[in-house]
Amino acid sequence: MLFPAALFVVSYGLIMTERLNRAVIVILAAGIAIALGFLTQAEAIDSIDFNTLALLIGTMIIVGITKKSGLFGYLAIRTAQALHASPAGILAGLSLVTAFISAFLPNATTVLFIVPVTFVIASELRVPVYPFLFAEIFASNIGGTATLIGDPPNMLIGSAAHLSFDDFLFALAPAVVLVFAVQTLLLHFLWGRSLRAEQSDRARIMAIRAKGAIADARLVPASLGVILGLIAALVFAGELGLEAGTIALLAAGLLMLLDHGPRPRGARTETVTGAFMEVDWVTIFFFIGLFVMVGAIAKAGVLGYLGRALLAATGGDVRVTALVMLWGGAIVSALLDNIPVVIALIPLIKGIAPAMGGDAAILPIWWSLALGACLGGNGTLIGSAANLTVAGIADRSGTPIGFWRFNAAGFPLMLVSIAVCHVYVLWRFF
Amino acid sequence: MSCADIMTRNPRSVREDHTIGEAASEIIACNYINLPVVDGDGRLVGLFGIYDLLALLVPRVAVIGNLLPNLRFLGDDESELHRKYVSLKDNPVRRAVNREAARVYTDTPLIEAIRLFCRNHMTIPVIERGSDRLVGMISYWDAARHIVDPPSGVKGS
Repeated sequence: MLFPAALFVVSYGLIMTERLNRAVIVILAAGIAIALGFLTQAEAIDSIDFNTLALLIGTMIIVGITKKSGLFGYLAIRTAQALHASPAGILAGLSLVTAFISAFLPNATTVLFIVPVTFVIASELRVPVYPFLFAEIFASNIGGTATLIGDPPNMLIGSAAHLSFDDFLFALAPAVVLVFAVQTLLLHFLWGRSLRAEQSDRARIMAIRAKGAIADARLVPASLGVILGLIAALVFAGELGLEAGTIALLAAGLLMLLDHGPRPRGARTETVTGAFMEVDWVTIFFFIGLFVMVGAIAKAGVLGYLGRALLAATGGDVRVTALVMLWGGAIVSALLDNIPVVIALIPLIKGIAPAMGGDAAILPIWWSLALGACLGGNGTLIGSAANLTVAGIADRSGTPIGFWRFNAAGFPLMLVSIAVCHVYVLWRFF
Repeated sequence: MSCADIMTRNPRSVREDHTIGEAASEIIACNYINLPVVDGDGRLVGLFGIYDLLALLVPRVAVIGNLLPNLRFLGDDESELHRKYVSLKDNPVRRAVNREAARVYTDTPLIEAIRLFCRNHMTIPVIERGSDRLVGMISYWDAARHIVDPPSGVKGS
């Protein structure tokens, strides 16, 4: 038991130092685990959650193709114009748009749609861009918490616990709406009410030809249709008898066909290659390596041991365990990468389910883990992939987001959102 | 054949504490693509050129990577572009200089300069090895002229 645990801890420590690429670390560690006999290759393959991988790959392809249309830039501009270019209004409006899109598309890529246009809008209004970036980071992590496909932790939990798109929506969307409302109010008091723009600058926003943001009009109905179809199929996944991963890959394949089919023959290969290049293969292999490593420590009994320790610490009380997952998941997610933690906790939670009354009885624990792991990402600038994506764009645009500047507001605001969830979890599930 | 053999010696340059307005006037008056920027000791800091000037007038997010497909939605507003220029022109050029611009040494072979022309499509400053002092500039025109119509004394001419 010690050696697999040591390998996992060392790998995790190396990931935290960020000196080496995380996918390289886990792939090497997974290979070592198999080579040393901690698990066989067949067991390693069995431990990989291909449903989650398919869901991730499918949604990444869909996002990559939709991005080419310019649709979401158009939406951002129209939102600003609908709010009469009021900076305070735009702060709330773009947050809402970001949160909504993040619920249905991976939140790390949602911000890629919205943030560049946000820079342009802030530049035209001659207001600081930082409040908008902060609000959009928060909104993307909040919105992504609402559904099965909004955030990778939810995909992992949903796949492992056989929770559907509808299950997530009914259980978590109300909490997300509450958290979003509270955060929007707080951000308005923090920044929104002091943002001012000259009438002439607001008039320039109103004069923007939003349709000019559409880069490929042909892709707009195709992308919208496929995304709506994806959501509908996920809602009725049970009736269809299909897993989320299959639905996502089918949708991605359809959109690829609609994208590359009408193009000239010579451009088709490039279009298809481009679509596959939109998949973040580093993240996919990171997941694969982690699944194998967690499979190794599960086989070695490490997770069983930790599960018994957790039962002893919580007295087998579902409510206490749920709140531990909520707050613990949030703090860990803020400070560390939440994906390895969630992947490790999943078999641990499944292992303690019988002692806690079975699968139905531990549902609040799953919901609490999802809330904590997703919302905790707002706690620090490194808390989630969406945060890092926005920070990267801000850096390259010459307006860096300071790590401590973000954390000074991010961490307390994140704690507020978890406090809201604490009340919600107790009220809704107990 | 090295870069020193075809470079324009003692090129016009601006100091890094000169203003963007001064550098812009020089570029436009002389139809330069690029102007070398030097420090107080004549050491090369980087290049400031016509593209760097124009890039100051658009949101930076629009010129980095592939984040924004276009700015067509903004429409034409010359007065706004001029207003932006006026707000920037008194800033020191060190704030806008391209410090990553390619450079060559006096003894760098011409073939390497040609490779850099093909990649970057801009003139290249020539610096003294060791001191990094600016000693010349070479353009693709200089290179092409020398190859197509070499001066007498060059093999094959």
